Amino acid sequence: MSILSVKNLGINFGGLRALDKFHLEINKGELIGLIGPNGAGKTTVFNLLTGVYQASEGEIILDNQKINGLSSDKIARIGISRTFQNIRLFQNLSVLDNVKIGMHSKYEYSFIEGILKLKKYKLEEKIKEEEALKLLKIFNLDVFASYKASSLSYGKQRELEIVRALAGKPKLLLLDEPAAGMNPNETIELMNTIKKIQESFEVAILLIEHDMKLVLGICEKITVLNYGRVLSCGKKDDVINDKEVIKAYLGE
Amino acid sequence: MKLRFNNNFKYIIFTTLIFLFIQLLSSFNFLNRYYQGILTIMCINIILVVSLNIIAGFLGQLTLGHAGFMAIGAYFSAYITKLLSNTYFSFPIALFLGSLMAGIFGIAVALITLRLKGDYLAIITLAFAEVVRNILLNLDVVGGASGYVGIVKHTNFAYAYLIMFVVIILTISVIKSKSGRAILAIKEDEIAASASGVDVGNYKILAFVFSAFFAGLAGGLYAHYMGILEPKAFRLDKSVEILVMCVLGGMGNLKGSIIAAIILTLLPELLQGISSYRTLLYAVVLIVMMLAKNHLTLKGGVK
Amino acid sequence: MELSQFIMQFVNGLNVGSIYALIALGYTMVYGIAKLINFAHGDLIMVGSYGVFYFYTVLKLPLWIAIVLAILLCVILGALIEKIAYKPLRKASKISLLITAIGMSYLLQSTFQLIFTANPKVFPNFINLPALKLGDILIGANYYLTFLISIFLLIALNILVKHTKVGRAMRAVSQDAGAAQLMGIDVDKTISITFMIGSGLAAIAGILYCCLYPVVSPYLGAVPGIKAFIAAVLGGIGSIPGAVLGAFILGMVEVMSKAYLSSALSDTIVFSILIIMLIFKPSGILGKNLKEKV
Repeated sequence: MSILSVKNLGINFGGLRALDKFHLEINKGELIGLIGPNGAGKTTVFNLLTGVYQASEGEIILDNQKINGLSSDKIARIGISRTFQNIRLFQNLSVLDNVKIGMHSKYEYSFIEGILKLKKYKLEEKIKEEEALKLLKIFNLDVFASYKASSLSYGKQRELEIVRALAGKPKLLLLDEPAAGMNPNETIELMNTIKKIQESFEVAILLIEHDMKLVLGICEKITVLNYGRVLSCGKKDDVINDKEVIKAYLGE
Repeated sequence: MKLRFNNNFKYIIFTTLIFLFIQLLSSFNFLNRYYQGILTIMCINIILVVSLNIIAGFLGQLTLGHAGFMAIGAYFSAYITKLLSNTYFSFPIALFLGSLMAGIFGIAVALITLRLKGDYLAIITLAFAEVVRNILLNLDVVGGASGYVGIVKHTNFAYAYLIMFVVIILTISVIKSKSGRAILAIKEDEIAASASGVDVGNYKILAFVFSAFFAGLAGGLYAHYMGILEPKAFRLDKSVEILVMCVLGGMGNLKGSIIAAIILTLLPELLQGISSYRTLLYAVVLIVMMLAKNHLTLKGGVK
Repeated sequence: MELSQFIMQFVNGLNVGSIYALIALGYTMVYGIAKLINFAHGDLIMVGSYGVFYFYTVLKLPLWIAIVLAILLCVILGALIEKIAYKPLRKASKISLLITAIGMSYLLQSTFQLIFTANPKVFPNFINLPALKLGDILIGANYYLTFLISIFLLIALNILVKHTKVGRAMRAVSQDAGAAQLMGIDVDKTISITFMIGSGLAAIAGILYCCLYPVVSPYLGAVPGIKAFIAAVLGGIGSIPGAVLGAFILGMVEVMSKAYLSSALSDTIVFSILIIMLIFKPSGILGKNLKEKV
């Protein structure tokens, strides 16, 4: 069953055609890799999917609902969460608060209930806090719950960003270079965790990554971008044997 | 959870004790009208600094127009008390309506500044406050340049203290709720906040409304304490004064800014003997404080 | 009669505009290079005027020496302010920098109030050139001199920024101070020079302003300062042609609204234009839009 369907997506930056006729199908619970050389338009795809940029043309359908034109926060509430290439945590807030903000739209008490600290507020804050700690446990971050996010190491910050994104209970999770700056051991650990997340949260994952070992290790399908166009897409084995892809990556 | 409740409880007892102590002192005539006046102004300043903290400290937006919201609350509430003349509830009603009016202007300012931040926001809020002041200067219904006189002096220390107390409690409650977290998240990173499902626009408006409403409340108290209003009381200097309290206390640090408000209310009174050097000293203190604060921050000593 | 009155107002607008332009340039250059709204800039106007008043009227020095000394005073003061108050805060938060600048403004005002008292002083009238006669319209010497001097300075500044080594360094630092430093540009010196030029222009603006309105007081700089600042924002803060354009627009709007609408509401009109501008194009008329990269 398709969870995300992107057709004919395109955007211009000034005179530059950053993305052209982009298409993508993601089924429920799938793990897909988005690869391509620097400047191919990978992050632009993420920015279009999450409403940071508005597409010049094309359509994005999430779970039978057209989402292009919507603002970032609405899209997040409908079910796409993401991480950022250059970590964007709430640096001066605690690790726990970072996750709680990820859950923002899941809080049900009203503004007034919050101010007056009524029973519903207290109860929900408690439940959500436990939930947040449980999520942090995935990466063993729960011990740092009260630490400032900025005090975490680089790798831990990347992991916290993933936890924050998961906290919104997304249908689709976008990971922008999750292994950037990690050593090989950490990368292998991360691979396993991503796999685990995919299974236990029943969430579809689209990830941008330069580390081919990670991509080939966990992704079922791959889409290759070059100069803003889809060069190849489909099953992992078909794509890596695609002549065009080999040409783009290795030259002739 | 339990801890938070205890803290609130302690806070309530603490503030009540202070209040009773001051009431006791004044009933035995240890505190004359002059000192009570300073204490009242102190409460008003604390309301102002707490309210500015919502925008500047928690939302992290630079504004230079807080005196504008205060002026709206002051003039409108004074107008209402005159309109209702001597009805029993005229003062609370006037205070509420004055604050409401300031809050409405808060929405307007928030709406037009949604996309702006940093210096641009500072400039536009400065311009807003100047427009308000200029219009008041030319509005004959409220006395224009010669001032709005004959406002009944309803404000006393007890009133100001009670309202200050409520404002502080409400502000803390907002910050401790999901709305407060959302506002803090926007300060940290707007794009990440909105990717986390936070409606950035709405929460900015919320912060402005709250802040403006409280500033209007402070204005209303001020109007009914002074008995006369002049547009020149709401110049840029006033906005800067509140901002300075906020910065000295540490942005987003309520306790600190309350202490800063207390000190900066007392300071001019203490310097009265050397009044010709007062502004000079104030200026030097400002610059030195900023330089010292930065020096300490760089050394990692104090944040 | 109607027409000649309009022409008079137009000349008036050009004058006010050219004074604002000189001040706005200081704001915009400093903002471009140090990303700082220099609130003390307006007060340098006042310092320049007091300088001429003191050296010429009190010490009875020759006029040209008095003017040169007044300008020098502002240049040195501008550089000093930067060194003492702004330079240590270059990496500090915007708000600390802003408050320091406001503190500097208070400091200058109160210092000059202590020296010269709050009582306004009469500015010497030293321009005794003949008025310019166009048909039945008489244009006073201070009017056309102000305009000519301003235009000359604007052109000179433009050449300096566009065609000299110092100017290139200034443009480089305003783009990216870090990268400029790596390319061997002395960033500190460049910033100092920018402050000096801005302050010198402010001094000249102050002297010209007082030729039009010959009263000197410690708070003299506040009004033209804030107007010029608005002009800089209107034109696009950080942009030199923008500041000049903004200043002439603002001067014209102010003079015309005073003459034909309401003198009481002219400030309201000016500020409202600023607000409307910021809503629709926050970067100003000639400013560039900067978008955050995600």
